[in-house]
Amino acid sequence: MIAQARQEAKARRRPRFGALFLAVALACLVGLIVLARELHATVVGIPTSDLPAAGETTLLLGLVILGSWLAGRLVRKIALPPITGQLLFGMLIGPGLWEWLRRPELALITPAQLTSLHGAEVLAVVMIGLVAGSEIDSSFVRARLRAIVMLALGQVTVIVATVGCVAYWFFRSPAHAVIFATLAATCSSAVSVALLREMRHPTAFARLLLATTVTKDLVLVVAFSVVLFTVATTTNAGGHAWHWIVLHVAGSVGIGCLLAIPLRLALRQIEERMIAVVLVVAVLIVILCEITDTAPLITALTLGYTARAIAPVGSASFFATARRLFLPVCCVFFAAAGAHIECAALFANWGVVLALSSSRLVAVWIGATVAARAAGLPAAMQRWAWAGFVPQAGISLALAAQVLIAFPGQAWARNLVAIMIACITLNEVIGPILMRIALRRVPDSA
Amino acid sequence: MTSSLIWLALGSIILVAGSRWVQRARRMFPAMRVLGGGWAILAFGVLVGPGVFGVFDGERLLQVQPILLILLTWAGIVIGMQCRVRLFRAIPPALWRWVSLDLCVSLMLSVVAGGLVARIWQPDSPAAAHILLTGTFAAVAIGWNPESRSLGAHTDAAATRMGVLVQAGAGVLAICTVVISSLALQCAFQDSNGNVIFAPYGGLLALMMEIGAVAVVALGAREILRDTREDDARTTLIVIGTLCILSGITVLFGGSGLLAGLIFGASIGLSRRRLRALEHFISSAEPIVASGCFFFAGITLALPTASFTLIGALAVGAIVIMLALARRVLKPLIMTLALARDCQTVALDSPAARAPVRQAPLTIIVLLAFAIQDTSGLANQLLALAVLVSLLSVAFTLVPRIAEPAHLRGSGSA
Repeated sequence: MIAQARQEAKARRRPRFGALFLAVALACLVGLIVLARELHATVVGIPTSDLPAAGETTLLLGLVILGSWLAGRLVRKIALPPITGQLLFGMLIGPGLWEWLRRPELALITPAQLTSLHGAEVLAVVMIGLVAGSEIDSSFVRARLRAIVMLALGQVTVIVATVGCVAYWFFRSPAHAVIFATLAATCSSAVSVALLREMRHPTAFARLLLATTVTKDLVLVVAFSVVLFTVATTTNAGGHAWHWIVLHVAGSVGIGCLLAIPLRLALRQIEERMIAVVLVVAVLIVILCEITDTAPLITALTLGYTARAIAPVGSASFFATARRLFLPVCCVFFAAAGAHIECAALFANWGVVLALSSSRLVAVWIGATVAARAAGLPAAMQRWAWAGFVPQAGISLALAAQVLIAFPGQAWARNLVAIMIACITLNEVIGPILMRIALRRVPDSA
Repeated sequence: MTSSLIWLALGSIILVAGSRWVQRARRMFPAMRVLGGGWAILAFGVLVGPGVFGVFDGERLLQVQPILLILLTWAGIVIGMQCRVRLFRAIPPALWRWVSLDLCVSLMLSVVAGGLVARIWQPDSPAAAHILLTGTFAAVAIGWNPESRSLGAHTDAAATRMGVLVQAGAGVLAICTVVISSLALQCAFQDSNGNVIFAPYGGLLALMMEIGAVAVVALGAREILRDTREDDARTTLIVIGTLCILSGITVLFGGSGLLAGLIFGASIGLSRRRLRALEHFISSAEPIVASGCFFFAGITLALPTASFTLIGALAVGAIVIMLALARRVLKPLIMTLALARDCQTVALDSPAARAPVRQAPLTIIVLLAFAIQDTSGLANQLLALAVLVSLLSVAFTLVPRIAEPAHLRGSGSA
């Protein structure tokens, strides 16, 4: 008994891993993959498998999950959020950085292999949506509705006006400026929920940021679709946008709400093997969204929110399991996002990107601070609210991709999207750092 | 669109299959308890596989292959985690005798059967084909189904002891099956032209590299898990990440995910400090892994081409019946011989004593690992044979009077 107590006390006293251990582990992991590939390619006469593609996919998935987790833990040692480490790790193993450095052979993931991870990425988006939706407490939203609306409205107005003017100065086209400014107003629900999950006890400020981000993004998806539709009809570029508005927004929200009913019924009947249930539900959402051409993130968000609202007890085990799977999901999502970063586009347009990102940062700061004051939020929240709305990631990238779909084959659309992606990349890297600082500076008592 | 709808239907079926309705329905049929849920899933796999409705073939099968690789590695970890010094020390001499005897007899018969079938099937087949077939037959012959509750309740201490011996013996033999079959697969394999070749040096070199890589991953994962202090989310992350890496490395070296998983599992099992959260997470997913493997086995298996003619079908049927009958006759005999000295403490006439007649479910998983490596389609046919033998061996357990030793006859009606 005493020995056991001593052993437990010893285990409690054991220091957590140092930066050196994490760095060595990360280097060993990358080295192992490189060495295994090299041996496979050079040693003659060893057995070959009939499933090389499947094996390569699992190997990369393992590298992405473990590597980005280790990288996340490593950057925590220098007080940065793990997301930054995950993004940087993705960037290091992805093709973008090495292509820009003209050494594409050094990339651990080729562009073709990155495509094979697409399924895992979409699944990760759905899981993030489910967890984000379940994190939004309806009673909290009702109590803070005024603050949420004011924060969202204040930011959108200031960002669209400020970034729109700067963008017009660069692009010399009102249509392009409006498209860019609307996209600049979006934030990242994934980053918000990842940082929220990182905290053992999410503060009211963290929950307010998440609720505002989700609300704002939902509104902006509609607004962005309207802008695209208007530009497309005025320039006769295509008729896809209207169809896209209806399905992407109304369809996504509608499917999310409708799915909550069968999910509730299913959860009444299933009580074991919840991991399998969560994964199957996530896959089903991905497929449904593929069939109906709706947005997986919005659908999953709505489903998470509705399911928790209509069956808080019945869905508790389901969402607890989803949260358990959240860490690997985040690692895949952010590392893949990092691997997708196009360094060439970022550095080719660095002047425009820097100017547009700076104007967005200033607009976010003004908009959020003014709105927070108007909503009567505590002083600490007024001071730091802006930092929670800097990150951009998945939804912004998805909207940027819609520009190419709405205006196929247009040179201006390709250029605009390249600059958009470069700006999102910058915000993707600096956003989580700023948000983490804000979450630490605002105490729960505020 | 059709593809998406198929996935949608499949997901819905999985959800319904895990519900209480299906569990209640299963309880209504006693035969289902003996068979186990895995067979229903295997039958579903056969239905959606390329042989019947063809829902899963080509592109769709490619999409799910990474899941199959992960499932095989996971199954290996579950088996490997049974390697515990404490458990091995607790094994009584009687069980060691039983296990050794079963292993020797099964291996000898496998060598003979492998040689015979290779000669009959392909008279000019190379030695490599013999080894591959011996590995396959060894997987079919070694071991038994660990589950004995479904055959009848343990009425007294001796019957309970018999049940425990059956379970422990199945665990030890499962490790032997994976090691032997994986070694056979590693040394006798198909080259890029599809010819079966025997290359022990290349195979063993690949095996050494694989073991080295697995050892590095296992060491790193164990060290990291020590620091996570039983945190569920981090344990899940490490397990998923490690499974993916192990599966990928296994494919690079042309080995079996089962063996890589077994080595990793053994490193956890033999570790001085128990990683309870990890062990719980891995074992709790065991039914899902088994169901997944059976589903893929259903998709992968192919009826032997010989069975498409009347004479061929009769020949295949005869092989299946012979193999199942051999189990029915030999397994109880081996048990009686090995446990003769312990008949006072172990109930040789208890229902649990009939469990060794049933083929181990692991056989299907081992042959599935063979089948995904094989491009000729031979392993797919052998998998179908193993499934038929397995089903017949279950049927023989339900009909206790066939070739049964005298001491078991008394309990037939019990």
